[in-house]
Amino acid sequence: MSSETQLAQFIISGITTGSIYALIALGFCIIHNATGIVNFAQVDFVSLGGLMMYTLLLSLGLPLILSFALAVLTVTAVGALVERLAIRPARSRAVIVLIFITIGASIFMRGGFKVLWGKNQMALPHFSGESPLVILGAAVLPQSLWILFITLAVVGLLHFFFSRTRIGKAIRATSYNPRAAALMGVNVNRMILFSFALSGALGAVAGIIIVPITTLSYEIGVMLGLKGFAAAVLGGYGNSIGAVIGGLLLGVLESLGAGLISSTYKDVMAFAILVTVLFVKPSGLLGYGDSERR
Amino acid sequence: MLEVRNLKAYYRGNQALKDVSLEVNQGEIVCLIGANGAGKSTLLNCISGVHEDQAGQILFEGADITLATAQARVKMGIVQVPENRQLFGPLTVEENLEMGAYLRARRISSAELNREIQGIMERFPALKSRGRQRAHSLSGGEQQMVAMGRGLMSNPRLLLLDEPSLGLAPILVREVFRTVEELRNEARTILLVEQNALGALAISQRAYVLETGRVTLSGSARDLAENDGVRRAFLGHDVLAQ
Ligand SMILES: Nc1ncnc2c1ncn2[C@@H]1O[C@H](COP(=O)(O)OP(=O)(O)O)[C@@H](O)[C@H]1O
Ligand SMILES: [Mg+2]
Repeated sequence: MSSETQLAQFIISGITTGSIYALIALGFCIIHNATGIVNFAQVDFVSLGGLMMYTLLLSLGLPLILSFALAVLTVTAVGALVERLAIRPARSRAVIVLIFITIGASIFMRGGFKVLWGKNQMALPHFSGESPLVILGAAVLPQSLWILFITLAVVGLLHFFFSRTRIGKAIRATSYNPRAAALMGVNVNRMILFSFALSGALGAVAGIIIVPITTLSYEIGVMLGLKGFAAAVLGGYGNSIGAVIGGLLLGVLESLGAGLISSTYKDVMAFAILVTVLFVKPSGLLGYGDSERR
Repeated sequence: MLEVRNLKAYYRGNQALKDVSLEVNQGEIVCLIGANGAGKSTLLNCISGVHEDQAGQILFEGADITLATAQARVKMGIVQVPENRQLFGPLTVEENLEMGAYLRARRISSAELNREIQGIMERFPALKSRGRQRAHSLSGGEQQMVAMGRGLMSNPRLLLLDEPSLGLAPILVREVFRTVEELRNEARTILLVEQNALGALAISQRAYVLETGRVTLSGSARDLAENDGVRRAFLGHDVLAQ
């Protein structure tokens, strides 16, 4: 293999995992903008997406598209439930308290997953075959193309939702100024609920599309989620464009690092990049999102 | 139209309003004057339903709305233009105006919504070329116009204006007061909070003076403008400037 095709190979696989980080990072951003908190349960939304897909597709034998849709819906509902049952009833609005609540929710969910799905590794079939296509001399799995395509579609839909729809605009308005939004008759709690649901959906999609090319376990989302978090910080926490760029950049650099230097340090790489960027520019590549929080 | 009875409000146990009672009748401009920290904004927030820690009673057109949500009150036509504009800074001017019509947007067509936005631009010509600009890039005066326009997009029957002239140059202050009078002529009722007492009293029918959470004086705007205590406390600066 020539060094160019090798490079193409690393970059394509980097963009593939980077897309996953981007989706997860977007989930972190949306909840941050709505509430000012870091939602640690985001990583479990990713796991649950994969786990639900396994159950629906393999245990119940439902068709692929239906399983996909139902798995996303389930995690969307779980996201909403986390807000409804854990965040909203909290007597304190302090960010640190709410963050601890999400850590609790995360531990609780992961325990539940372990009981329901066991500790074993599982596998999901690729969406459409496993014979690689050759692009620019690099061998690309059809699943990678699915990941790119679905990520692109999701980012496009999100953009449309936040820039064109009444609820999307209200969620943004609420993140910039919750008090003023309430004065316009926006139900602020409902916007926060929507944000959790949306983040659940994003996490689920990330989990569902990545699992065929890794393995599935009850805690598959943890490492992916941490990388997604790193991507969000890298791009500028709360900044959605930054989240996408941060995710892709992290994926590509990680893949290049693993391929050209050593795969032993693959996971360290992400955090080394993160720490380096934050030393130089603490607000991340694109600066913090413009949510104005108390 | 609006009746506030024995309203008390607290911030973590500190009492900001002490048995405030006031009334606003249909078609009036009623102004509420008082020094910084008197409790004026707190009172408006209680009326808007965004201040939780309160006791007393609030009636709107005879109905008890003390427990109504902020959302329900906007629907009834009680709309506040908050102190310091409180725009959605990164949203465009048009999006800010659209947020004003948030509760109505489901029922009106987007053509209708655009027509209303154009109507606001006609009323405040300075905003005409600024529709696509982010709100925080505007000057203070323009931002105040967006804030008033956003309030008007809710189709208010009772408009609560919290210090709309705050921080504006004199020429803009006059424009704000002129707009307030126009709104009254369009059959809207207005509760106007101001520190610029002279300007506010000049366009109001009745007035209340709030001091450290208590109504200490009330009456016709003309009488209060003549009142020695009021003149000394609030008009000194203005009178000297004349
Ligand atoms: N968020 C708050 N937390 C605690 N105290 C507050 C808060 N907002 C206002 N206060 C207090 O309540 C009193 C009334 O404030 P406010 O209603 O803003 O007065 P005004 O609008 O007349 O200047 C003041 O003593 C102020 O310090
Ligand atoms: Mg005030």
